[in-house]
Amino acid sequence: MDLFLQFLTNGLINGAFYALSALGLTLIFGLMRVVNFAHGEMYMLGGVLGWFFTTHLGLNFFLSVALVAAVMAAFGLLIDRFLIERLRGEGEEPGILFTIGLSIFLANVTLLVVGPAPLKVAGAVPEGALFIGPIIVTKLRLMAVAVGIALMIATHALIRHTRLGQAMRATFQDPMAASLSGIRVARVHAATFALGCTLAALSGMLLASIYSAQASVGGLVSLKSFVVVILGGMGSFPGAVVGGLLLGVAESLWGGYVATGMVDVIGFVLVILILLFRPQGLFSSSSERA
Amino acid sequence: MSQTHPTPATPLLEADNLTMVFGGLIAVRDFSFRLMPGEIVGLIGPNGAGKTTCFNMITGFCPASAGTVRFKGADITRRRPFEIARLGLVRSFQKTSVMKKLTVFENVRTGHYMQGRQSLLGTFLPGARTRASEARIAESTAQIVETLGLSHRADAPAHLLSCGELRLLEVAVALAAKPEALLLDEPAAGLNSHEAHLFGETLKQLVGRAVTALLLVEHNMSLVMNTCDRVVVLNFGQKLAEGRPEEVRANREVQEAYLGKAAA
Amino acid sequence: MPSDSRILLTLLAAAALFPLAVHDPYVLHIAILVLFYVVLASSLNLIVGYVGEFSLGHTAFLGVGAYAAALLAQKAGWPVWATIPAAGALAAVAGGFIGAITLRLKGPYFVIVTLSFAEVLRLVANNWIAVTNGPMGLAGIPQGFLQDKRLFFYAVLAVAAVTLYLCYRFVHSNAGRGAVAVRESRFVAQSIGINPFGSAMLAFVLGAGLAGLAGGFYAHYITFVGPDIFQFSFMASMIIMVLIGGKGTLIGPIIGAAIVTLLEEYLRDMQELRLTLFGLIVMAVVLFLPNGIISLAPKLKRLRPHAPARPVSADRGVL
Repeated sequence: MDLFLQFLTNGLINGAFYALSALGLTLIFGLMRVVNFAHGEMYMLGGVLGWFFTTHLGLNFFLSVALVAAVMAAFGLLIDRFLIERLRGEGEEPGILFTIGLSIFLANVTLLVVGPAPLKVAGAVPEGALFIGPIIVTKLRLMAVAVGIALMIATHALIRHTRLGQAMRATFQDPMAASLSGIRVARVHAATFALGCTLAALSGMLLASIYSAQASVGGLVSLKSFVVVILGGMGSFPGAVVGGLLLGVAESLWGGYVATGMVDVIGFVLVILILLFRPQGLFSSSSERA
Repeated sequence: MSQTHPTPATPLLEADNLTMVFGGLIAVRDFSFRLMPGEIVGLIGPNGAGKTTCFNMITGFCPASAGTVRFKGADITRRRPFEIARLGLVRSFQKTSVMKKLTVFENVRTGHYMQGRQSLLGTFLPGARTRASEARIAESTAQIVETLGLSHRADAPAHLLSCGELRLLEVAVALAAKPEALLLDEPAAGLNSHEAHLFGETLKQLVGRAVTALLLVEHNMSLVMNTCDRVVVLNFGQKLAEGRPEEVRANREVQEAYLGKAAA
Repeated sequence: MPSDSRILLTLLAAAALFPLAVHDPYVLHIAILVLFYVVLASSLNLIVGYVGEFSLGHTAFLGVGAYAAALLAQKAGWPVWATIPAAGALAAVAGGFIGAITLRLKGPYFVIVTLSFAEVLRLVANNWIAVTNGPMGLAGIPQGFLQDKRLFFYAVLAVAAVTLYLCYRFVHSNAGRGAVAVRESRFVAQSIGINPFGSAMLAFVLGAGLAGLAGGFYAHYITFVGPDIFQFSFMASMIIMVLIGGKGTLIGPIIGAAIVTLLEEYLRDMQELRLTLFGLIVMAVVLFLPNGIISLAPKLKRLRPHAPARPVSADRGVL
């Protein structure tokens, strides 16, 4: 039982980061209908930039979080305005191809610049474990999860309670009506893409403070984020959160009780099953949309 | 009980009490009608009356919530769209229903799909049979293109056609499928009155030769009045009137539905 | 006779003469790789260009074919002339299974699930050590009568010829027209009696089987198969070939395979730089040349399969 609780905790912690990363992806898909295959690379860039600011330059962790957010938001904004904008309204396929190209490009430029070695992000708190009843959690993890949850809440508030969020929701429901009522749809798209990239990057940076950042990790992260988004239903905010936690827990339990070698298979098998039996995702029909 | 070769007295297409419910909203209620061999029937009604929904129910694209559709005596209510097409009931779509990147000739040739089907062996190791079938299709394609007066545009990609030519091509693609009953959804949309008149004449030529019967959803009243043998009027998802064009035109309820109570 | 059949025949004939003129084993090796990729790219093109859905899991069939040929040769002692067709057949069966699941999905879902299948197979190859020997892979696959590069060249040329023949037949058949109709408009296709699922399935299974043939050849040629065969870099090469050349055409993937293979070879020692360039190329093609190189040659436009076999004007005169 204690072991179970430990697995569950580990799963929830990993799941929180899956959720954060998937949130970015689901926003971009839900709003822009762009299937962003470069999402994992945004996550990866977050980790690498985090390493650059904290370990390489020796900056404070929280300052670095803000810097990573700013850099990646600007990056996302530029990519959308100058590149993805040109593909708007041509259906899903060009977006898929373009972001696949972007992902290959970003991953390999990063490899050229920093090499394949794992890079550590210096955390905000010292190493050390906390004992909560029978469960052991490192302070680093707790810290990272806390920041992650804060980011999710902030994102939710942004979507629910700001003018930008209102514009985003309007555009999501009906781009034509939104643009007729004076919303600058192109700006909303750029902001959404920037937000999506930022969320992925911060998720990558937080997780790199627990594990490490690596240039080649993007592909797997993209895949897992897709798994989560499909679990939760494309474009669904609560779906992404629940889907992320679900995947984290499922992987942790499988790894703990069954076999460690095939942990990554879980997600893919789940996706195949879900799409077979409930193609709209587990939560999509009833859940509110971003 | 099921008759494969309907005599003139038996209907080609029968719809009985078709009802369509979308999430609690009744789009069409208890719609029944008959299409007899040799007829051109017009299905008219104000926007949102449920005309296209009726088409979708009949052709299997949106299976009816209740009611039955029979074609040549056989129940096709729950059949899939391509199965219904294979029985000889072919439709067009309201928004341009052609393959835009293909030329006129290719579009019509593709329309012959059902006659051109081959076994795997025939596809990958074509023998005399496949070649003969392809030759027949090419011939029939040229003929249909000619019949609809599109010969001079045969090699033009569909996206370069004028609106009138597109309407003709839609009919050509549907005709290529050698339908017995042809259902056209607003085939004259976007045509001017002269073009619509010519189009109507073309349709009249088809019945009895290329197709057994024709059902039209159309907004162009002069086309409907000049072309159709019988008109069915839908309003708010229910049948409002049915009869010869001049009867329907004189019907008070129909005038009200179209023009509002005060004007009638 | 439509003119792309003439181009294909000319290319194949020229290829058949190639080893008579060139003896350098390195050049022959490159030529073998080009033909290998012609098979792969053409097979992927059936799905991307004719089903109109974007598969990122095509390596699944390459891998199934490679492992099948390797195991049949090593454990069952089958000769090469039997293993390669068997590899194609097994991959086609896998294609039938995966297609039955994935072809019900569209757009991003199709992309992700096909990719998931390739990943699942990679993990299985990595972990099912009793059969696949895990990450160590299967080494020392017998080459049978294929004793030198020139014989390998003719073997892969035969596979390429079969591939191009089948693709050509498909594209110019009633079934191929049906697939194009489904790609262009699902609704119209159904209204003229085409079963969209069945039509896509035929192209998918054919594509899978041809990729399996390529995989079978690869296993014997390289004499080694490991889980890496399922990895994304093969997939990236294939997609780029199809895109650069021009999807939905017969000649496009051939052009793409030649260009990309040569570029890959030129940049062989600079893996990251090579892939960086690939990434840029993909983005540039999507933005500036969505129909591939083949769309640059207006004269070649007639060769696009969906522009074709026009009836001879005499035929029309008769009517």
